[in-house]
Amino acid sequence: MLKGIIAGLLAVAFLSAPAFAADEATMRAAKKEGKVTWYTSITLNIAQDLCNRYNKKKTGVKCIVHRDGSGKLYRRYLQERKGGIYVADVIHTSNLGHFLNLKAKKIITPYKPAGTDNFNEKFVTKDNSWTILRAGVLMPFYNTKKVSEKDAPKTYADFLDPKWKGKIVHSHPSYSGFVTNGMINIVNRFGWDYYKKMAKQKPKIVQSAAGGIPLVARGEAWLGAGTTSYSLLKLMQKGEPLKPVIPPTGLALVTSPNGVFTKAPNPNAARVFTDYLFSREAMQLLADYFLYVGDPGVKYPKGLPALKDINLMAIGGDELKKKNKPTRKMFKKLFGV
Amino acid sequence: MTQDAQQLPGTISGGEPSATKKFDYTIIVWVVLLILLIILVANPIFQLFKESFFVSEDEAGGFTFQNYIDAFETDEYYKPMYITMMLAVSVGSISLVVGAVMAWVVSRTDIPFPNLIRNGILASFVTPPFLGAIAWIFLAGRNEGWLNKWIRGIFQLSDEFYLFDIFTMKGVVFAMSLYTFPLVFIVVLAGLNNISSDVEDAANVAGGGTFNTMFSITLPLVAPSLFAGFILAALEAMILFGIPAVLAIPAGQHTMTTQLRAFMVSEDDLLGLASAYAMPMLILAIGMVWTRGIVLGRRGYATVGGKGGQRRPQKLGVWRLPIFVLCMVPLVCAIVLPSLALLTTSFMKNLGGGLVWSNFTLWNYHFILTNDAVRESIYNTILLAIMAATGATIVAAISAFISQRKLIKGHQYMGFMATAPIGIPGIVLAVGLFAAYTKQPFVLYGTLWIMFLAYLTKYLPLAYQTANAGLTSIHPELEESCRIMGANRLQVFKDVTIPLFKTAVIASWILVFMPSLRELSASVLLWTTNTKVISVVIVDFYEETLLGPISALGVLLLLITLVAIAVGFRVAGRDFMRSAG
Amino acid sequence: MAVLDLKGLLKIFGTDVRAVDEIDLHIEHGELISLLGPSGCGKTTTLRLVAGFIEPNGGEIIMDGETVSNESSVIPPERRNMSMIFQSYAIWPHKTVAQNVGYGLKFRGITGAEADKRVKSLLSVVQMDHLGARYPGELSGGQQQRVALARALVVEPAVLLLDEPLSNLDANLREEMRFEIRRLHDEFNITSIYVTHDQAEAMVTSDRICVMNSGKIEQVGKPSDIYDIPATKFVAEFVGVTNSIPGKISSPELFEADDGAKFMMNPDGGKTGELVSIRPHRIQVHSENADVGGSDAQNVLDGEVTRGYYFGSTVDYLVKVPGLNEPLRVIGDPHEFFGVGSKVRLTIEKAAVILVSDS
Ligand SMILES: Nc1ncnc2c1ncn2[C@@H]1O[C@H](COP(=O)(O)OP(=O)(O)OP(=O)(O)O)[C@@H](O)[C@H]1O
Ligand SMILES: [Mg+2]
Repeated sequence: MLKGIIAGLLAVAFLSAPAFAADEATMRAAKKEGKVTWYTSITLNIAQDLCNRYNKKKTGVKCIVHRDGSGKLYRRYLQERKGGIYVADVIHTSNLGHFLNLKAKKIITPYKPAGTDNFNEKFVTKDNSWTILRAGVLMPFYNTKKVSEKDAPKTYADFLDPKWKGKIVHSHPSYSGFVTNGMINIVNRFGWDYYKKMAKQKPKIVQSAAGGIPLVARGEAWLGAGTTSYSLLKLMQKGEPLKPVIPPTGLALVTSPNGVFTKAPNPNAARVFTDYLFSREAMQLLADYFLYVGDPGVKYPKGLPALKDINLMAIGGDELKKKNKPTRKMFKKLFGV
Repeated sequence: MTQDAQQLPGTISGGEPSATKKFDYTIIVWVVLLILLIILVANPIFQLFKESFFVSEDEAGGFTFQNYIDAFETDEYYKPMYITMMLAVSVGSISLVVGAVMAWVVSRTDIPFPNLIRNGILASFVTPPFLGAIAWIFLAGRNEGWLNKWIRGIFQLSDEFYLFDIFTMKGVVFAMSLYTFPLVFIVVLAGLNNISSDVEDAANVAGGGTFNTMFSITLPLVAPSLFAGFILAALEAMILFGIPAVLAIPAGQHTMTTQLRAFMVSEDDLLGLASAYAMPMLILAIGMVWTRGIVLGRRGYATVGGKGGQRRPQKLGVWRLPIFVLCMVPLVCAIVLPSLALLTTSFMKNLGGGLVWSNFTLWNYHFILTNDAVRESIYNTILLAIMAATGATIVAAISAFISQRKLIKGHQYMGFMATAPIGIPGIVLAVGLFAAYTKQPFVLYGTLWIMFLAYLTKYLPLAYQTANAGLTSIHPELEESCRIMGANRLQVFKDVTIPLFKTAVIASWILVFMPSLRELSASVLLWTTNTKVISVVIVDFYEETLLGPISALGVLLLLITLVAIAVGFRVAGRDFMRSAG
Repeated sequence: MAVLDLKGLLKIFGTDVRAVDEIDLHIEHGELISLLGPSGCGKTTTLRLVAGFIEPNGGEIIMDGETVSNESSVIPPERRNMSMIFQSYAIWPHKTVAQNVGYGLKFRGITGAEADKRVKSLLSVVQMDHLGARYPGELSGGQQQRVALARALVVEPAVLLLDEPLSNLDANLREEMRFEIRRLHDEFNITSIYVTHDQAEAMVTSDRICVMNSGKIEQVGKPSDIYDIPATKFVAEFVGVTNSIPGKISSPELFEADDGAKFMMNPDGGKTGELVSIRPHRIQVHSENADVGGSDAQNVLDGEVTRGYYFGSTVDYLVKVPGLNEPLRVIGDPHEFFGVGSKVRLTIEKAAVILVSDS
């Protein structure tokens, strides 16, 4: 009798909002599934690092990383879904707008990862549709060997100085959700005029948000219009001659959600792996990579400015969803690609 | 195995009266080939065509011209077409001049080491164009490119000075020409070798000097080859994806191929638009192949008869050495420098760190060899290349055999069928395959099979031509003489046909295997999470600017290719690459 | 050794190309018969029919009394115990000379030492014994031809078929090999069919010549008969040069040319024809008004030289004769040279005037 009630409750709970951390049964089922595929837009080496660490734990679930830009991941999943192909279990990108779509179409399913109860409230959603895995800011930066601290741009407007013509690198919003997000913030502040002038600077266009860093580090370009703070700070830590620009106007905060697919081929493994992603170990790893995370218990490395010290610009998922396409179109119009 | 058009297999064998006519095997062969052709060519092209009249995002939408309007009316989409045409013309012209001059120098003058130059040019097929382009970033980046730095160092110039900037359209033209001029070279060299020396000697006797003879006699005679070479190079420039993806996009320019891919990977479903956009490319490419066929088809013009005696090479005199050095420049640029750049970069910790011991690392290799995605891509690449090479070779060998030995009715159409895909650009084919096999009832998307189909289609013409050329050299009398000595059909096949055909078959296998290893333009649209290949991973990494791991992967790819070539030389003889032209 | 009979043999390619048009031919034991004719007349097709590579559309081929080919059944080539030598030699390039020669033996149950012995002896017959280990790529054209011969003969075939075996050789070698083939034939005495379009080759090698023209047999006979007594205008003109003069027979011994000239000939039992053929070298040239003896035993004609080419051993004249529209071609003795415009007297024996049919 009691058993029946519990089972019933469990079933109800599972069907409505299975916001429970993985239990023993899930673990066993996950082991049977044996693998989990993570569609992620976080830089490959971080994604790989997370996966490798997870795989070392020998949970019986093998993590497979598929890293691509936010937009391409989104398209790819929809395309595969259209063909009835389900490969991905867990998705993580930097485009909240896409997550709204995915949620509306019930393509992702609510799941509350274990141990997120005490997380910073900005990182969790009430209905558990997704959880923010990490946050960063879109940071302009420069090469310290080529540009002296005195000459370096201090504000966004400084990037439009003709002396930087041909020396800037800019990432592509169609590829990077991080960049789209940041651009919308900047357009909100300065209008499209800013990017019209930026286009006149003939920046080198790279695809991913972090793609500009090696170019600036090598001195091939001198300034970066904006990159993921975490990649930049990590490379600075390694001694690359780079430095961020922190304009008084503020930096765009980009929060990157992580969700579980409704039609995940490995639903249990998906949950077990998501739990891992939000575990203290993974959270600390992300923090070590200069990312902001929801777990209040992690230690941030030296060199990462505290969020409260930065003037932050931020937009909501709805705005992102609305302005996503027009932003990309406008970029293509102005920059040609 | 008779030359007889009327004979159907099975009706002649055995002493028994064939009053009971046996089943006509012709039908089976035809049905199989027809199905294959439909799967490989007809269906994808049809779906491409169909999709181009529907707006993909608009699920309820009906027949519309909207895609064509979008594709050709908006400036941003129109501009890549213009750029592509300009690229095709400039790359075609540069390749024509470089390729033709080098062919003339190699075939007509007393240049030292002509074979070194010739084999070097053939070898430049070994470096995949996209890898070459990436290597040239290291070499000719505006600020940090080694060549620029080196020149600055020598002449004590300021940091601002640069001689080369690879991220410009000029850079794109340069990088493309490096990999297209060999096409012209091969075609023109063949044309030149076909001209009997008597014809030129006659002009010399009549009083024409070296250059007069070249311009008034030789040049007009090789005109068809020149034209064909130009078309080949221009076509290649038009359908290349890797080089513009690597160099043009950062310069803010799309070409048709990169724009096509941008449509395909856009957040929005733009399959319809992409299909419409692919149409002009498809038509142009087929048109170009067709024109080339017509021009080269007038054989009598190109292959001027007369029993050529020993050719007297033109004396270059004091120019001998300078011209030799000049001839080595394209080779050094296409092979030596890029390979060196990739090799050194692959061992560098810090790309800006220079060639010092403290900057040495094996991390890049460690990274690619421990990365699951990369490891899987290596496996996929090799598996796919083996599948494509085997599949294409089997189909090609069978159709060539049927065609040459006139085994079934309608054998004359066999060659046409096997070479039908020849004009279809890889990326357009991929859009078509995508349109055809991502939806029910034939979902191949997400499997290696769809890429297999792409490779098979793309390389079948090459395999067919190789197999066919091999068979042409086996005179049917070789088989008949075996027959009359007392061997039956099977024994003939075993004792004569297979041993003689083997070389061509192996050559064809390797000639498909090699380009399959680095196929990019179709793969880049068809790969899925589980079906990545090395070339796609390289482009992927490039988009993340992971230049170190790319170099390591590039070195690995070159190694695999070199092994394939070495095996090819061993089993198929040293000239097997020649039929690639 | 074998007797071959082709009866009403017909081969049609496509719908209307009658490549072999109902021919009848009987070939004796040990006989070497050559098929001679212009390109495309059906020689190769006939040979391939005999070999069994193709199936006739009518008629039959009988070998030693057994039908080996007819419209409905064909014994395959490998079961006919024939050998064939091809125009391209068809030496297998991936086998050594000895392997090439020895290949056919295994199908006849001859292996091991016995096979080696036969290969050796055949190679020595064709004077190739020292080259057994070579690959064909390392041989000259003539040597390859010898290998082909050895390979064909080693199996002691009942019938040997040769399709223009010498056409790829240069002139000197060709002459040498003609005699070689004849020598080998005399040594082995195998029933042979020899296809050629070279009349000299046919003359030297064959016991009999079968002249073909557009799928049909024009004449079969000993080389001397073919040359001296051609049956048709085609044969006369194809085998050597001749003067063909159209006209009609007015009495058994007299032929009247259409343009008026008359020729006496030997009576030839009821033979009919629309032309006479006179070989140029059977016409003697004399100076004008020369005394040439009686004009009842020979034809005497007066004419004028319109062309005369000096060849050293002969002179090639064209002589315009009243009563003949076309000038006569005459091969004369160079001791006495008549320039253009010279008046000459020609004499022709009766026996040199051959009545031929026009078909
Ligand atoms: N396989 C074929 N299909 C159609 N027609 C053919 C075929 N083989 C031969 N012919 C035709 O049959 C006729 C006779 O050809 P065949 O090869 O027997 O001539 P040939 O006397 O050997 O000539 P040659 O001296 O040139 O070798 C020609 O008109 C030829 O075109
Ligand atoms: Mg013939």
